[in-house]
Amino acid sequence: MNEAAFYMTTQNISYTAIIVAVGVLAAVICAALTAAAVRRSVPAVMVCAGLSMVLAPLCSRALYWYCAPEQFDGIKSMFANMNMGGYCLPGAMIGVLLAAVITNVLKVGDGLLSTLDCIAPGAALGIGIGRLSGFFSNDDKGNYVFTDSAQQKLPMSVPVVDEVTGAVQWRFASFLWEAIAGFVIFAVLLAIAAYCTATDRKLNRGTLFMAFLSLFGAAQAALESTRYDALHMRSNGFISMMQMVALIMLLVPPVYYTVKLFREKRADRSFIPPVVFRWVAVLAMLAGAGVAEYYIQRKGSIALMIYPVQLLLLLLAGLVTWSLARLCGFDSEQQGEYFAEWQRQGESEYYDQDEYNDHDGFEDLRDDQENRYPENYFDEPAQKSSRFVPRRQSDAMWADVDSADDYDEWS
Amino acid sequence: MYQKSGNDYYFYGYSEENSAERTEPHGSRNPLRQVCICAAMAVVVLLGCVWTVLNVYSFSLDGNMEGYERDLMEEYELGVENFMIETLDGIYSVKKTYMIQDSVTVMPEPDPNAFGKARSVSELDEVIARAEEYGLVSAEDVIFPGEGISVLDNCDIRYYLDETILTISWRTEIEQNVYNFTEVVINHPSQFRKYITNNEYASSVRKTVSTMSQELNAVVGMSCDFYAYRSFGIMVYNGKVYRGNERYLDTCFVNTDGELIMSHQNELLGDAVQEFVENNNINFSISFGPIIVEDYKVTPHAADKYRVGQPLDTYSRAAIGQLGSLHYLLCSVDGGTVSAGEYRSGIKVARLAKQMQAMGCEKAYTLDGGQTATMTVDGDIFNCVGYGSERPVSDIILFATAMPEGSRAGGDAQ
Repeated sequence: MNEAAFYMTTQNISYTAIIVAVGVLAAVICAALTAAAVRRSVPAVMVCAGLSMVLAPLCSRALYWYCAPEQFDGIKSMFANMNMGGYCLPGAMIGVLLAAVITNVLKVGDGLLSTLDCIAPGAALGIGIGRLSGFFSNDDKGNYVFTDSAQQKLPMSVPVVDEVTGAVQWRFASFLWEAIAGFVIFAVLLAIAAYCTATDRKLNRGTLFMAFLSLFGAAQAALESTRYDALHMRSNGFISMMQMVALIMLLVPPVYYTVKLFREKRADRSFIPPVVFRWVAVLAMLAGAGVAEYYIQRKGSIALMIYPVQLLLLLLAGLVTWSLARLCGFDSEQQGEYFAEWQRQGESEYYDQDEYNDHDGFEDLRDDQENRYPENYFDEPAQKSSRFVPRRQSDAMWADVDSADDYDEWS
Repeated sequence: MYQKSGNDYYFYGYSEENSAERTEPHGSRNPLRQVCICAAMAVVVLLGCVWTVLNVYSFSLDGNMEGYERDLMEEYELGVENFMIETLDGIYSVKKTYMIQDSVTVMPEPDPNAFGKARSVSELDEVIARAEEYGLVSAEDVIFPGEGISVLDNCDIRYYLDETILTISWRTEIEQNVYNFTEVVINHPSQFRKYITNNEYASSVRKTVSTMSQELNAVVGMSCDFYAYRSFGIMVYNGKVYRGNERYLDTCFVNTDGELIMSHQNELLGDAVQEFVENNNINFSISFGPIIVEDYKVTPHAADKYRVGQPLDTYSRAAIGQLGSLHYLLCSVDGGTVSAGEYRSGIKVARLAKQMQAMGCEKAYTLDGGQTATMTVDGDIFNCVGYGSERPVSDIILFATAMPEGSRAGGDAQ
């Protein structure tokens, strides 16, 4: 039961609804501000937000229906009567993802990952705020019951009154920890964005989004395990839907960075051993988290001791993923180990590949500099080179060109 | 001012003047249009927030009060009936028959003084004699502890006796396996209940059997079928059919007279379930199985492959059997854990069937086993649960006292 905040004629407005709405609003504002701060497309973020307002509830309901079809009279009633059943966070996230894809298909903004980067901090903030609604409902509480009166207080536990029996139990405050996790992830993403903005580095596309996936996936996989009302897939009563989604979230970044590395550095295979090592580490951590989940379910009485271990393993998996991201380089000055090594071999100066493309008439510059690059470097896709020139250097260089307004001088 | 290279864009001659362009390379470069897009989307977001406030977990009070309605007539009739029973007691030789209102979920609190512990079988003789006095059961019908069976050393026999219910719980070792039995005799079928979490079908909340037993004031509680774990099997709760697919599982129905009515898989399909429920006054169903005893005989398919429960492997097991009218036997077999000083692997369903038959069950049905199998007495776990830790589940069956708190004799048991 969700506690009523106030009544509007015959309409009961719950605290949960108000808090979720505030969370949504905060998420959208934060996403727009992030886009402005990291110089991405604000309209793209707003279009994505607008579409999300329709798609997120729909997908959220649809996934809830999939998990608990018995709560509805039929698939039609799922949409016709919004009071029935509930909403599923992974569904809302899928809705936002779909909205971002549609925004990209509409050619608004500068790419899917770019839009998702801007949305990621806002999403973490919105989820953090939304989870606070647990103070006003019986949802999102832990399986673990605290019988020791010393532990019967926040932040560890909250009293949960059974709606039917009226019995009170002090259960783990899952919602509060999920909210804290949301705020921490928001702070971390903001710090990454702020670092890049403050140091005038160009944030690579996907960096914020991948960091969000890793961190949120790790936190959610562990915290969802604590819940006493987690939604499960129809075919699986042990691993919750959110944990499944969290597992996918944890695996997407390593896959993304590995594919990126293979695409960018296909000429040189020296990066394969460190990548394989990191993959083994990620999979080992996830397997460890899986074993921890097994013990949580089998040994519920000691679950409180296993949760931190599980969370630690998942965060370590995220950390290893981050090191994989560093192999790729996550901003314009971060060249990654491959190019760092190349630099150590005596190259201290490098330029953006675009400078060498002939569309701007600088063929001679390309010719001059070609021998500075690794073998087969120019066979690579052009996108990778976006990291190669520090923005300040590039801006200063091209500002000079503008001010001189004389391209002949450069050619 | 910008040029495309692959999927990326670069600005040549970056300056404040062209900063608007770099934020929107794909779409319109017209700042006014961008502002319009942002404004329109902001309106959509605000409308979405308003919709959220009005619809997400908020609801109209019209048509949502069904759950809060009290059946006043039923309460009135039951109150009058119990009052008359009390008043006529001693005037006419009318047997007291307390009952629990159908709409009541939390059972009357059991009398703490009516619970007792014994170390030997003989200590129960007096309790059984008093149960006979109350008209609950005749001494010869009580099966405790079972022919040729001795109670496990160092384990208390636990019992509860008042005018409406007798329960005796004991542990015993048979062929290196630890069996936990509870014999239950009740006065009225309303004392035999099934409860699903939140009292709401398909609730995602899961709780342990001991938690639910304590909350509901169960004298004896038992894990049931964990219906929320799977999406098949018949589900009838409080007389309403929620799920009607019996293609895969045997079903145990419990009618309003407290009789266990067994139905084999594929017997009831489609609308036949609703018809069956109406014709037989079914109160609730249990969907796990298989049926292991019918007409005092072990069923042939107790040793067959079955859709759930892996009957051919050794696991912790649970079962419910009927010994007579309003007379039941609950059984759980320890497995996957250390019990009575030794590791126990559990038993196969066929072995359980033989034991339930040997205990004198007219019919018996397998409940969800493994870590789910939990038996509670007065809210305490009585068996050794698999892996040493209870699994949160979606349902339990329970037996409760029907004695209203004001009608207790008090101190009638040690």
